[in-house]
Amino acid sequence: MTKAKPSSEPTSAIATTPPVACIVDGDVGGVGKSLLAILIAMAFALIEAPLKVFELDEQGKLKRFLGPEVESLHAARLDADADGERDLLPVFMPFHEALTTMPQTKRSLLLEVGGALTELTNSFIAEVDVDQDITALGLTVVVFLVMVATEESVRQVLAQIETLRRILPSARIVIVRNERDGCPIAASRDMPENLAKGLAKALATYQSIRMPRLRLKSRRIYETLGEAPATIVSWRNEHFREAMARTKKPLAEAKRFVNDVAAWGGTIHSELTRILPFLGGNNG
Amino acid sequence: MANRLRKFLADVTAAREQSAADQAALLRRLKALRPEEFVRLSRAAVEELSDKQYAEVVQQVAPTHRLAQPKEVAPKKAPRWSLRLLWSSLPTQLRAAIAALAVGFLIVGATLAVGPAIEWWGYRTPPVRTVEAWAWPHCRRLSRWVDGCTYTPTDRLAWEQAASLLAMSEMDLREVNKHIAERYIPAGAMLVVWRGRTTLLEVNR
Repeated sequence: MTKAKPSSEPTSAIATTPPVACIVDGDVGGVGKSLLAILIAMAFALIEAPLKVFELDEQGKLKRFLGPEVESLHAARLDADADGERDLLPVFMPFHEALTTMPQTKRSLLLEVGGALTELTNSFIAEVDVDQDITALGLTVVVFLVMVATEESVRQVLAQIETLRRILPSARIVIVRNERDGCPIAASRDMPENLAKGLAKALATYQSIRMPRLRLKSRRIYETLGEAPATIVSWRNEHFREAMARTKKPLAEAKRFVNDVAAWGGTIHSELTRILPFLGGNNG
Repeated sequence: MANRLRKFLADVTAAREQSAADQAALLRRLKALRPEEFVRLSRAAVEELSDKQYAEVVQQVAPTHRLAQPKEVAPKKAPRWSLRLLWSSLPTQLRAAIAALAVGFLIVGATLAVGPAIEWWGYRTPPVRTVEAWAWPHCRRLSRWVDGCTYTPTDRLAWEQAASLLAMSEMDLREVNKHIAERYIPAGAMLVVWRGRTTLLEVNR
């Protein structure tokens, strides 16, 4: 197996054409994995590029935002055999099938790994040797590791980078700096030295994108509505009439909500385009 | 470029422009307020402003007032090495073993120190003895802190060695032990330890 080395140019694009397999991970729950997954799905939808979405989670958050075509991988239904060992294959089989047939279907993939299910996914990747499939079939796999400005989150992401280097060296790692609780880079200065240094080294080695903060009030409305950002942005028509009707807010608040989501979604879209330029509509 | 993407990007651009225009309008409105109007504003009215924008507004509304500059707080540097850090980095079992050893050493040390300490304490007060040395208490061992006692060696002992152990001159030792007229102190002999710090009492019969 050819073990790919991480890019020494953190700003270069990863893939110029689809299909691409995107895995959104971060291990700790509530770091914004679902938000990012929804925005990645939106970016593919905007260029009308086919995308199959999987969620390894029982919350069904992606299904609520993206519709019933999202396939859930039910980790909770893992059956133990007579020896008490868990068989991971039935859980991940749909994803693995879609991944290995990507060159034929030309359909990109998106997998969101739910909170605390990273270990399970790692076990599957190592057990099936997914890296061998990626290398043999020439697939492009991008792992988005989402972190917030907390020690626990940074520690988890750094640990996952180390694991991926070992079990999935052909995948491209992208660190997502979710600024919900502040900038993780700035916050790392107050963290233990090993974490701060580890993060600085990781950011110098791997590509990273910024996920700006969405104003708290707007985030609450956004999560209640369960609509994709592109849809919300379209509510600017007819002077925010649809926005007022859906949010049940007066014009000023509805307008601010739509503009917040537009600025937030627009920034993340342009960050994603930096990593996957075809999302900008140039090669799709 | 797909129509949906084109429309999305156009909406985003328009929204950003509108946000910037709204923000500029808000700043203009706030800057036009009188100080008494500004202080009566609700928190919600100014919470969208950044620190810099807020300072700009205050400067415009009340030019004579100066907001306190936030102090730069230098991050406290963690010591690179300290005993506490080293201690906490050790495995629990190793820490327990080290603690047990330390306690063991303390107990052994204290036990060994008790005897000499008692001797030293007793030595501080010069003993009162009669001239009849056979009635004196027995020295447990020969050391610089014993006085007014008798010692019976189990093996023959050189005068020089006994004097050295007692930290007194060989001549003084021989002087109070004239009953031993040999080159060595024979085993079973009664060695008198007397430093002459007080006068011996006569016995009235």
